[in-house]
Amino acid sequence: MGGQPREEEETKLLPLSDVLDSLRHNAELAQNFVAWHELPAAEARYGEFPANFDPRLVEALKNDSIEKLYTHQTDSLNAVLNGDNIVVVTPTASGKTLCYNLPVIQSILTDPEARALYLFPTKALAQDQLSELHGLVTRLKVDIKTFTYDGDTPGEARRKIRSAGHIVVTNPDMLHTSILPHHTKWIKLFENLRYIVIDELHQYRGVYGSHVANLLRRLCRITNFYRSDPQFICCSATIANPKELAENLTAKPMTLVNDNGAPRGRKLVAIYNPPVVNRELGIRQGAVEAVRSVAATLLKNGVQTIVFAPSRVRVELLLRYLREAVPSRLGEPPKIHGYRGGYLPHERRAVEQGLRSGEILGVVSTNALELGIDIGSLEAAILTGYPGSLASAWQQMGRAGRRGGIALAVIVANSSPLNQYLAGHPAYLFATSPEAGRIDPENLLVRISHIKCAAFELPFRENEEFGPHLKELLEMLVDEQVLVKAGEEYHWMTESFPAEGVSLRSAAIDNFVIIDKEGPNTRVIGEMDRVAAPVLLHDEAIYMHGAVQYHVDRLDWNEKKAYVHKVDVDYYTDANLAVELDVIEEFDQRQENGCLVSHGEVMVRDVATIFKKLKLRSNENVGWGKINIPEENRHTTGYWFALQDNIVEGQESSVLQNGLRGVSHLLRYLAPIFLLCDPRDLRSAVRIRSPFTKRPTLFIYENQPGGVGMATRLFEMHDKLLRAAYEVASGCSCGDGCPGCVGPGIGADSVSKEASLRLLERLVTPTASAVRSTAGSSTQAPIHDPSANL
Amino acid sequence: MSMGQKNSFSLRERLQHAVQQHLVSVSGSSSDKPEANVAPADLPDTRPPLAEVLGGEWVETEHGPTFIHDEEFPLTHLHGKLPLNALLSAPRNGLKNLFQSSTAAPAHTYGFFDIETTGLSGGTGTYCFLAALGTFASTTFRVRQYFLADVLQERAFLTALARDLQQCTTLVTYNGRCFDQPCIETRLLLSRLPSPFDRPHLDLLYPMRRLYRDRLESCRLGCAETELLGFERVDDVPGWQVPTIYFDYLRARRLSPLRGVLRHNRDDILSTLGVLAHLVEMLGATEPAPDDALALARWWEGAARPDRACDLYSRALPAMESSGRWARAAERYALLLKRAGEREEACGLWWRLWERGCRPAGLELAKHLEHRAHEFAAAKTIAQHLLETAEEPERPALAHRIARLERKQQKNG
Repeated sequence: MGGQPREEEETKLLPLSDVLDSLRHNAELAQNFVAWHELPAAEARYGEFPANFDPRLVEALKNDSIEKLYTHQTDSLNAVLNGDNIVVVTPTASGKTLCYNLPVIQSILTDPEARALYLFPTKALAQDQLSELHGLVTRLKVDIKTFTYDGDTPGEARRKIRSAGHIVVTNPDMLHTSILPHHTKWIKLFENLRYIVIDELHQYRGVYGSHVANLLRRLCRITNFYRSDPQFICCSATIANPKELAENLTAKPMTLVNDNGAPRGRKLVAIYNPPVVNRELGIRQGAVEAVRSVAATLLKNGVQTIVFAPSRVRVELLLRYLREAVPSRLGEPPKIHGYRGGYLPHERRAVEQGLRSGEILGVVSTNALELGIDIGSLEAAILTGYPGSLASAWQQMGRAGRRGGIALAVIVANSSPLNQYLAGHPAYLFATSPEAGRIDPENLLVRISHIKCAAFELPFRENEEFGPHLKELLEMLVDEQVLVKAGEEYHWMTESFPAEGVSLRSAAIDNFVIIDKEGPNTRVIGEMDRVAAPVLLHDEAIYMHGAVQYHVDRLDWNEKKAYVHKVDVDYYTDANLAVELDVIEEFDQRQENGCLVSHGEVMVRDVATIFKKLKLRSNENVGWGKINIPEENRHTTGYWFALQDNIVEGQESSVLQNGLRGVSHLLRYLAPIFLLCDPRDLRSAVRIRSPFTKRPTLFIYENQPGGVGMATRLFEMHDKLLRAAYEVASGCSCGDGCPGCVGPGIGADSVSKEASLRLLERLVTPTASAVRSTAGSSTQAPIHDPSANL
Repeated sequence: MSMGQKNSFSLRERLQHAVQQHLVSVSGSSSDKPEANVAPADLPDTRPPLAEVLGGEWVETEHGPTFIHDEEFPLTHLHGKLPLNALLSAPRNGLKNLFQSSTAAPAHTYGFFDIETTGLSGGTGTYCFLAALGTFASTTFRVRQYFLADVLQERAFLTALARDLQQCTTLVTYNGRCFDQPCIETRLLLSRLPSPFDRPHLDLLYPMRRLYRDRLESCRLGCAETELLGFERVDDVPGWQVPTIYFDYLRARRLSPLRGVLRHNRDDILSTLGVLAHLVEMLGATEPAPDDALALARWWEGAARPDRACDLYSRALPAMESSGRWARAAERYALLLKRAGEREEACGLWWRLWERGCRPAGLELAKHLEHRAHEFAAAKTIAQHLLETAEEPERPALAHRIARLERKQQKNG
């Protein structure tokens, strides 16, 4: 008991600017910062309230200390009141929601019968929006009824929402399966619908976006039937083509509002590359470990910080490490919290609130907080690894930003080639424009699904606007005995309910619940989606929730329940998900320039078979176990090509593998440009000896179960695709490969640009055996700047 | 092979491929499609000979022609064991009790209503293609059926139907609240026509459930008509075949199978009428059979009339002692008695139930013995018996009770 009395030391908190200085001069950390980039501050710019703006609304805003509107808010308001459809693109926390709430509420104040429909991609965002709306409506002291309508809405409430809700907040899935097929129950809403608000527009890209585009065309058919002509108000994160995406999604001309008037403080963006810890093997310190050091330095000085982690396990690990590194005082609640999917709604609300009020100092989150959930502006944002897209990176870094002060955003690189490329070429981050959002509303399979749903909702007339070749498609559905033609109309005439068979998203959305059986009451401590459950909730897993460890006693797969009890152990578990790919049926094949090109049905199996027990902090392997969970089989369509001997000859298999990996990287990023889809819609696999083809083979397959015909199109455009790939790779000025061509040639699992180029060269050069003319016959599509489309 | 590959897929081929692939992957097999003997395109575009095949006639409305089929039955016609006029001679009290209102309109003004649809999923893509309305005339019961001969005639079809529904004071259906009414309302709304459902609607499914839940395998109309009315359908078309027959008519103009659908729909009306007569009879009976009396007792419990329920229980239970339904009824009766303050009688029932191993009765006894009779030893014996066979969640409360009884015993002893 002797020695110094352990008094609570009054730590001296430094402002961020001083912390920054110390970071830059800290011998241990400073040398790892490979780039510093400064974004200058900007003053607020204000606009006027429109002349006929309701004074009650002005008053309510003033009560919320909003005296003036920013330019983009005024621009939005004026454009909407002028009758335009708009898409607003401004950074996080710039007051975007007022851009739609103001015109909507203004029009309800003028006409109490007016209605608005808000679409958010997730339930959590809808909830968040609702609480903000409630606040504004309460201050207005006017009876404007706002409701969320989702899978959790009880039956009794639904009836009331249908008839009385002024503003109905929902998601695309509900609109698809519940609202549109039963539109007669929503007559009050549809007859009086003035505005359709689509927030987080950039989420609707690729195949999902193509579905949503068709869903919105269905919505417009219904509003047309009820003789209302609502305006669209869309909001998007920064992407390369917001106006184009909004116009493709809604099929309406759009006015772009992007003159951000919100003030910005100075912001420093840094890239941190963890130090090499094993010089012989070139192994760097892990990103999690590095984030811990950087974040702890900030948090210890009271800098409010958000840490983004790439997975739920990483969120929990970092949360635990940071709480240890920056303990809260005895008897006080923790100042650092976790945030991710799987936390219960009330837990998430509490964290959001705590961040806004400043009571919570730090938060460790998955990309769940990348979306527009209101948590105010923090002083610092730290990204555990580059998230894979520029749009995501800027969204996450946008969480840091303080008016009047200085803010910091740090990307901590991990060991992947892409991250190491970024560490070596920081300019890529600052000089490249963010990705474009691409959709293909005319995709045949997607469109046929929605034509069926639309026919169920209202009979089709053959001259309706619903994409090209409508009449031919309708006739086809008559032949297939799905529709019946009567006069000029096509009527739905089968027993089924088409929306049930059409899933907008590729991922299953059913949830597992996590139940703590110990103590007097069993209670639900969290939930988990179907994809993550096998990895995180298998028997004997250590499931971490808010930095508390639970042992999973039993995972009841059929009942979708995991039973856990609280433990305190010095390890965590990590299960690997192996992806296996089997060819089920080959639809077609042909010989082409030294390879056999095919497309067909493939089965993708996500198999979690083994988990490791890893010691906290040291990551030392202290045991393992088997996972017994039914395999999840997904059938989809794929395109693949197997290399013939003349292509392969003289190449070592390791070189060949690096080459194939490079080609695969390039094709995965080029194909979406031709297919108008999103990179996440496609996956690829390289097999040095595929059990099906018995040769080195490159597979590209669709992520959507069943596929939407993209593999077939890749099969058709194989030659064009490879020529484009060769053109990009040979024209790229990088040395060892970069994200814009074959992928970076550094770090683990890297590629060889040389081997990739050699392969591509052989694949596009006609061989003696193949009969084809080369003289100017190949029509080549213009190639976009590859880096802009990454 | 490599030349010109990329243009070798015509639009038509691609569509075909896409549609077929989609149909297989989404709706499973497409083999259960109705067989179309004649391609629709080859059909002469004339009005189908419905009157010749089904009987009935075309009727003009302000929205064009629609097809109507009438069938008249003498009031003495037997549907199962009940004549159609059984309802008209059933005790008036029964109707009042059924509606739980003294203002029920006279039975001969009711309309008995049932529809057939293209599916059960609901929503705007489900069509009603056949509706039947049964009404009383002076000497007959008429079943009028409205048939959607062509989807383009839907407004005429609905207009004729709604006009006749409006002539009825009250609509009587079987599961019509959740199915028939919303379906017709959706169709009317899509055709922008007003709704006739602004009058009382008696859905017999609910009283059937309350009175027969314990006694019938199911409370579907098909089960009720066999068990209660003794009606057996001849060559009935099962419900699941109904949409297919209609699709077959629309696509291939196959008319004759429709006869079976019309018969099925008509029988639904006659059975709905019969079930109503049966229920009214039962609810109006002065001396119900013991079996009915137990069901009626629960009915009155639900209607917040414990006095009537007690009366029925006390009369029916002695006769039911050997029946499997006795215990549950006795348990309910004992609870009513306890609430009414008739503890002695309640205790009598609990003891007999406890002898038969009824745990809730044991618990009631233990409570009574402890708090009213102060017979702690007897209460403890029962509680200990209960504990021996208790499930996990009950155990702490029972253990607590026993401990308390022991303390009380010591204090008194």
